[in-house]
Amino acid sequence: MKNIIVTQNLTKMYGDKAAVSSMDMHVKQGDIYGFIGRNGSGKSTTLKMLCGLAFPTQGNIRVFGQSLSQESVRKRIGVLIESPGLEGGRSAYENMYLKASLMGIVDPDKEIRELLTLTGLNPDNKKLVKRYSMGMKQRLGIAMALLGGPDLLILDEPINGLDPEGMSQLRSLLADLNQKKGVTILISSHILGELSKMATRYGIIKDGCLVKEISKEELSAECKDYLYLKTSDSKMAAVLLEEKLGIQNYEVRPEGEIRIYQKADPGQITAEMTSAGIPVYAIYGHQQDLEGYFLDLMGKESKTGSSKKGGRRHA
Amino acid sequence: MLNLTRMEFRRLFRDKSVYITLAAFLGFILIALITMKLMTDPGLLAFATENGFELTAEDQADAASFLRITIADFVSNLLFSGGLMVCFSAIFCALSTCDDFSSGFGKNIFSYYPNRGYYIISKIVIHCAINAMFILVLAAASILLFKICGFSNHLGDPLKMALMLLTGWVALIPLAAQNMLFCMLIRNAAVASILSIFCGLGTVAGTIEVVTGLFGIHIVQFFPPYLVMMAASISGSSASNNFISLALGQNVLPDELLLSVFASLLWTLFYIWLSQKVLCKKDIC
Repeated sequence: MKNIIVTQNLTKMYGDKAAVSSMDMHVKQGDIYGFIGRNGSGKSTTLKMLCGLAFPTQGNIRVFGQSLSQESVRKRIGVLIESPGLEGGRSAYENMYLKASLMGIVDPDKEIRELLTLTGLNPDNKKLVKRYSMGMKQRLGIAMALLGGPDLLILDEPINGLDPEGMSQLRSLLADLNQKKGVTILISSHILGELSKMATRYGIIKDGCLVKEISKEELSAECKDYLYLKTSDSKMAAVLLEEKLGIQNYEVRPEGEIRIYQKADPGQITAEMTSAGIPVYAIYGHQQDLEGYFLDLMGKESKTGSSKKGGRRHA
Repeated sequence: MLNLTRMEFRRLFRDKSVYITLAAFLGFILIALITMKLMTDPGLLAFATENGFELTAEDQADAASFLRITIADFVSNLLFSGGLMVCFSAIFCALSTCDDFSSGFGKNIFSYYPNRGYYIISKIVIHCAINAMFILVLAAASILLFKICGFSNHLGDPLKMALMLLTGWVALIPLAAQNMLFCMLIRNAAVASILSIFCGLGTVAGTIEVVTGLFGIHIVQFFPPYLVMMAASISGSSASNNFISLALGQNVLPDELLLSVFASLLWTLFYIWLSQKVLCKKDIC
């Protein structure tokens, strides 16, 4: 699959502070690219640069193999960045009509009605947008991003404010667009559980740097199931695991926590620990999800970036 | 850019506030004319006096001079000498432009159009259109209301009146471009309006003229507010004109007018260029 978005050394400075630093991002055609990071990590700034709302201080962006300054490129991108850009004193239909006329869509009535219905809004509703709930505004923002049938959708926190039904609808809609129409989607969200249900590839950003790009398959491989063990003395427990039980693939974490990544019998471990006088506070099987992986990665990065203390990992 | 301008037109002419403002201005003219009618019609004045209306000598002098002016003079005083159009243009420009940034609607525009200069130009085109609409409607309404109220004031020279309206409209173009610059710099409607009014009424140009005038240099005609005042003077109301008297103290000459129009054109281009530079320096929120 060819790359739809490629950034090289993308950097955005605000004064002395780098909001985005030397980012090399690759979004492939047909991806649903989940862009994740903490608050203030530079997600929105990156997305703004990718849709031309902010200019990079350094580096370059290629979208569809062309520079973002080409009007032909912009026409193929649907955008929802942060809050939807809406005129509060107009109806949803009128907002859509304005965007359609901005894009030069001739006779957009049919498309507007379809998109509003698709996103769960009533095209005939005359209610002013300023009286809409946050979720309804978000739905309208998504409908506006879909106007003109874009080949690439850039959505910044589109799930914010949506009710569970709305989230599910959006997920189906994006999956449909991706699978049936081949739309590439770059989406950022804090709701990692929801994102993991649709993303096919992830980019993880921390402090303005793209820490990792990983496919769903690679993530599944990395998100191993593990046995969680909490004891009063993790050092002693680790020695016991290696010497008595022959367990090599484990990770010692702070606060007496150990993660065992190979097959092991919890009953046997508990028995050995108890007989060695090491109290076991908890032991259970755990399946790591995107959230866990993300938190782990963020934790590791923090440690790498700071004192490097903490658990060791045997592979 | 054509699509962007078309969208702006749709946005503008489907906005109720434009018509509400226009109605308010028409109401203002109507009230002014009714008051004048009351002061100039002996029958109505007697009735009003009986009902407690007090008329000072100054009011009587105003009423007498009102009967002598032409409708063209009234319109030029209303629109240009009085600063109505300058203030309206400044406030309208600030509200409609800064709202794009505060509501976030601008994101739709700037994510679609890579050339931000298109936005500046289409906005100025829109402001010129709205200025033209207001000038024409208010001028036509004034003529009509004079007749309806039964005043027998002369229209004045129709050609001069047309030239006055045209010059006034042209004079508002660099001011619209200047307003855009303030909006791009500040993105706050209140502050941008105040700055635009302050500069549009010629405070800055007048101050510069006073300073340079000390050295015998008169450059006020090269500033856009001068052309607004020049427009007002075309129909013969130069007596109430600070700039004309400040700079030349005489009636407008055709070559002066052309020079001033040319200077305004240059200012417009300069402001467009500068606005685009400022817009490209800042992120869109």
